[in-house]
Amino acid sequence: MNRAPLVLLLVAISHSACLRLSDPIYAVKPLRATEPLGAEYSLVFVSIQREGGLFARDIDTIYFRRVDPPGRGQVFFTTDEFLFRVFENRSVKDGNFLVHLSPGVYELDRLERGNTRWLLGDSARVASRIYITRPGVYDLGTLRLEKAGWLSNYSLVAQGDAGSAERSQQLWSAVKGTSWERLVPSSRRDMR
Amino acid sequence: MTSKHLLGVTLLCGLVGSARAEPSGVVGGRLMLRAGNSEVSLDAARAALGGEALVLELRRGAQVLEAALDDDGYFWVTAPAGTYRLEYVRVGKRAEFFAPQEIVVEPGALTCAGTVALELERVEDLGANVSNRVTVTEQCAETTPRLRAVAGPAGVERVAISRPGSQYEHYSGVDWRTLAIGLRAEVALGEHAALRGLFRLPPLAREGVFSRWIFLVGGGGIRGDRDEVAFDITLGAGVKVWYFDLLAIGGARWPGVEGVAGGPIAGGVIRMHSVILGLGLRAEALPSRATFLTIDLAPFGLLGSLL
Repeated sequence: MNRAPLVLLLVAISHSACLRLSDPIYAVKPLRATEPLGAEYSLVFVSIQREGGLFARDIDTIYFRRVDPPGRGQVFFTTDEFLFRVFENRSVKDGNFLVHLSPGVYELDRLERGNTRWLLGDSARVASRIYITRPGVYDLGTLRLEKAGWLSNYSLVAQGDAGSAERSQQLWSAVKGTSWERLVPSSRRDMR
Repeated sequence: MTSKHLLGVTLLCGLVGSARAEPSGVVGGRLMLRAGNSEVSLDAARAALGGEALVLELRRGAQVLEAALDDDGYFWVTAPAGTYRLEYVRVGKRAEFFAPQEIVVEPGALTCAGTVALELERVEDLGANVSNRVTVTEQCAETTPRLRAVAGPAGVERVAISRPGSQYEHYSGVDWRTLAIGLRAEVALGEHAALRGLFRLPPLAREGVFSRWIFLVGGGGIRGDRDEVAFDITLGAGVKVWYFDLLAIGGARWPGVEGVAGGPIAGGVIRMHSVILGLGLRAEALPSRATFLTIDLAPFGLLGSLL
């Protein structure tokens, strides 16, 4: 009995979690915002930096949790890991994330890379709290993930670069030609 | 182009422009803050919050309008006719979100949206989003004259009390990826082996009774004792509980072959699955008692995770 197709199938299943046929194409795709589901959504641009060794890879998924009374517990996320991703815009790249949020109060809840999770301490979550009222394009800047000790949770330290010329240029490239473009303040467009 | 042509074009543009302009109206009401069991004035609330500004905003799609808000809590705004959402009070740079209310602006009218009471445990919690409750009452007999005085002669008086809005205006439903991974190839191992194609329809609703309903349709062949094949087709309906699909199934199998009886099928399935693989148990009471261990694979799930 020819077992080659079965072996090929098993190899494909076992490797689908760590490498993808489309990786070379996906690697060169730029960061690009996808269209919103509705006019009430805002686009949030945030970058996560973390310490890592030689083999450290970037975080691929971030979760925001709504914490206001009517929407408490609802989770919004953006990820690099979804089916047929090669056909879609890339909203996660090199530690930069574009996430769609409807009006509400949000905290950064957790970060993931494959099966690895970074759980944030209470103070880090509260420090990351954002209020989304008017639909718009928001830049939260770069947050550095730090861990004080072995037993402590991770904390986030803002790097104070929100709205910098470099980030404004990155953001403008990501939204240009999309419906988000009209929500970028003209002052930030001029910084590109 | 002659001056007559120019005049004609100008008039035409003016007519088109006026036809496009949205008719507007004035909507207003009263915002009442309650802490514990007592009413708190906006002045007292501002003082308790260190002088932070309180601002009420209404939103329609991406358009946000700031309402005028006086010290007694009366608010009003002139806006193009339509339905607006009232879902937060801005508190300085923060905001207190509450259950969304829909407010209707009627064209050429002064519409009373009622008294919106926002109840908190402590007034100092305003903007901290600890907990709150919103209730709307019709006190327009008191509210409308006050609005008329501040909002000016805004047309006929109407009453359209704000009503609770849906939590989300738009959310992602079931997309083509979710449907594609519902197509699965199943091997069932029991006294006899079977090979089937399945389609699992996931819950299509996000909220309510139907948010857990799943359907399953499948068909294939089961090998008898003498390598003869009986065909079957089954339909299943059930619920998703945590990671598990629990389904009742019914269908038909034909023809009867040695070791495998033909006839109507009745039984149940319990299964769980990932994007690519699934594992389950299938128990049949009809046409004969039989149990199968099932393993299924989603080819589009596998392809999608490689692309």
